[in-house]
Amino acid sequence: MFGDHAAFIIPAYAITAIVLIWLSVQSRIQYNALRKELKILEDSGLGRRAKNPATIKAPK
Amino acid sequence: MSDVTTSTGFLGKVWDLANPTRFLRFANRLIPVLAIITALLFAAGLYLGFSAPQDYLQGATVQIMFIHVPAMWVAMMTYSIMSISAIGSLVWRHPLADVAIRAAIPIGAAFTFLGLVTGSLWGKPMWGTWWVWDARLTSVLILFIIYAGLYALSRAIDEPTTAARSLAVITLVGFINIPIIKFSVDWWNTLHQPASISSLERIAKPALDVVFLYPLLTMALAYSFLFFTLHLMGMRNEIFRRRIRSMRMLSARAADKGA
Repeated sequence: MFGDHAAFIIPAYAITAIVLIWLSVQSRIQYNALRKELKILEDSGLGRRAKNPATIKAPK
Repeated sequence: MSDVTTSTGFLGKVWDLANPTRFLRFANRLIPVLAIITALLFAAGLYLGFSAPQDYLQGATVQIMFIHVPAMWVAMMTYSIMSISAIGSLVWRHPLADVAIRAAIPIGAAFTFLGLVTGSLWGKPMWGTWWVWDARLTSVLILFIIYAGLYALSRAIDEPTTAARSLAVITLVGFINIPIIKFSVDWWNTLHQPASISSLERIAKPALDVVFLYPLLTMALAYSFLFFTLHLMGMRNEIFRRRIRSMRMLSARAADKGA
């Protein structure tokens, strides 16, 4: 399909695919991890609207 | 609208909670839509690209143009968006402007990296060399180094306000490189070809045949939508990171008082 130039075209597309997929996947992985951490903190009483610091427990 | 007004009033005290709640709601709704549009555009762009005939001069390597040129366009667009955000961060001290800069840095760096690598892979069969120190290639390498420096800086300073100011100032200083990249092929004798599509007039009467122009523009749209999707995702993550930091500081203060 690409003739003599396959050795240049295929790596170019492969590297592009790897980098773009990696960017998307790592962003999603970070999102899941951060959301989980935020949930743990909120469950320990550290919600944004926590009014009484005395009710705050140390997060696990 | 009332949300925005209220949030702006609180900027001084609760910088990290100004508009983000509203922004998160907006991002959560928009990200899946953008992701679907991106996937469809990539499918169309790849189909059009692989259906295009070989170029009479470049042969099949013209395929690399469909991923190289959009990568560089988006790399420069990203930096321009960061520079506009830097003005927003410095002039209005808007916390989301700083969030936008931070989230864009790794994306811009990745697109610049892809521009450099695919350009090199295109250059070898066409020019007979992987790299030359000409104005276009060198200025793009400088852009990559600027992105790397900004990334390091964004991770080096813990205090968000100081970090925001430093990042915004250095981002603005680095913007000088964008017109240099753009016009390098006109200002200096370079191995790199001049722009084929540089203005609306050129889009109407491009130097490229439509069999190459349509896949190129479709891929450019796909890359742009991918950028906006990833940028929103990155901004959402950055807002979460700041909330976690605020909560941890609140927890540390509470523990301090309790001791």
